[in-house]
Amino acid sequence: MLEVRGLVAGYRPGAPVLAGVDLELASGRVLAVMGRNGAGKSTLLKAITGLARREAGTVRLDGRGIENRPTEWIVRAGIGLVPQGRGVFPGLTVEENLRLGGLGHRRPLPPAALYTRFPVLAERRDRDAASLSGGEQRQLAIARALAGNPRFLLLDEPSEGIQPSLVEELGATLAALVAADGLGVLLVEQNLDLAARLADECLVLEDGRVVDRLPGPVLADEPARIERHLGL
Amino acid sequence: MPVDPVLLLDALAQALTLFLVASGLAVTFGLVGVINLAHGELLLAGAYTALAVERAGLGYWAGLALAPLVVGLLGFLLDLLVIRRLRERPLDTLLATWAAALVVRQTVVALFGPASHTIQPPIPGSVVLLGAPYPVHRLLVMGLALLVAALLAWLLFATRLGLMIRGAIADRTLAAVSGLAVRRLEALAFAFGAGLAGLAGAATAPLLSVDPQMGLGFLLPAFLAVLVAPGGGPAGTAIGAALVGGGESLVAAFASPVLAQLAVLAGAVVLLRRVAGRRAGRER
Ligand SMILES: Nc1ncnc2c1ncn2[C@@H]1O[C@H](COP(=O)(O)OP(=O)(O)OP(=O)(O)O)[C@@H](O)[C@H]1O
Ligand SMILES: [Mg+2]
Repeated sequence: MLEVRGLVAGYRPGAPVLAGVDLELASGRVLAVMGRNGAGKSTLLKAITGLARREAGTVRLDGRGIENRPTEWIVRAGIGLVPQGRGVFPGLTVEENLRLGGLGHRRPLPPAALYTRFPVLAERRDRDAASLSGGEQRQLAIARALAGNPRFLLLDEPSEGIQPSLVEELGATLAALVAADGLGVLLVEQNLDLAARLADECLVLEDGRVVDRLPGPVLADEPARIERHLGL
Repeated sequence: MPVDPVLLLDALAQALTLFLVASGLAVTFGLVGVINLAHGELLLAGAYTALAVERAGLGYWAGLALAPLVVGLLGFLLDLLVIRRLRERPLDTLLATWAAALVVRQTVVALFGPASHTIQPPIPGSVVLLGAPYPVHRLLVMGLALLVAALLAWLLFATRLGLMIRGAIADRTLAAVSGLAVRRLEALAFAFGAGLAGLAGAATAPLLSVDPQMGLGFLLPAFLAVLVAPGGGPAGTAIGAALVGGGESLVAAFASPVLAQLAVLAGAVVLLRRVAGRRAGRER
């Protein structure tokens, strides 16, 4: 269980971006976080992983406070992060990216196990990660985070800038991971279709606050309720 | 004009010596991203370590072996006490490492005096190479440079530690997000780079006059070599060293030392542009 309570965090002292966020995420569940540009979605993921300045609040993993730990400790404890953007090591091969993703971890997944989930990466294993297409890099970024065998995966806009058919494929891959491995996913997403497909619940963030909580099915059945928040 | 083979050998020696000096810098600048103006003084510390050990009666080889350890420790402390506290503040880092350089230089003056010293090469004399006598120690230094190049290549491309270091160079934040203790890695790399500088200082000491200013002359060419290097690895650094070291010594021989210095100066302009470019790239 990943629990966030009253999280206040940002980048400069005295100017927090998050103004007290609460959430909980259980294994095998997908919690979507939606909101407009600048709402603080990425900051939330960064604050959980120790990449943003935390000013108040707690982050607990299975009841144990992790909010004062450095990023590498948090990641090793089982919280993987796929940052917004490409999220791969340029200049390193695909396989080196995957090995690096597992290096610091106790029970890493070997590249071979990741290739079965992302077959295109197997074909590109010796290529420089920077030479992959945007969609391939996104898959590599996710596979890199999975290499550490995390229990919770924080995904920052995985569908951003990639073609619809690949979003579809990504949705299937993520759904399989959640179902088979009991992965808990915190999914920041602007793509309503993808969020609706995966999410058990959805938080709406606005100006660093949670302004609404919707059950997953609402995203598909009454999209107007979320579109209102997103200004669509 | 017939090319004197010894001239080419000189150029090669110059390039390899510069590689030895620049390799440590490539590690500290490449990974830690710090422009360490005290790098020349780390070299100086290596040369004086060799001097002190020799005076203690332990001979040259013991000094060559001890210098990287002593200077590695010095680099570790420099990182711990100065550089790491000034992260993301490049201008302050410049000033602080310059200050650290002064401290090292003045310490050397206090301990050994301002005058210059000589260290006898462990294997004196020359061998005939390409029809002309060539100092043995120069050849030793060249061999050592090749050894360091091989060691660096192995370390970076064939070990887990090397993979971690390359990862941290490619993207520091992503490295942390992958579970790597980036700070510890940087401290290690910095100490290692400093150790290489110490080794270079002790290795080249018998070829030079050992005095408190000896680090200064190396700083600019070494930075140039690192900055014109294509890519960050040892191969890139070797090419950079060949361009700068070999180039300078050939231009000096065929044209004039003044022209060679001008070429270095022109290189410095390129350097500043690349520093600005890299910094922008880093900050994205
Ligand atoms: N590194 C940073 N330093 C300072 N301020 C930042 C930094 N990153 C983000 N911010 C600010 O924090 C606020 C929230 O940004 P954040 O990236 O969390 O938004 P977001 O919801 O992820 O937006 P988007 O949908 O565009 O990705 C914005 O006002 C942004 O300008
Ligand atoms: Mg964002």
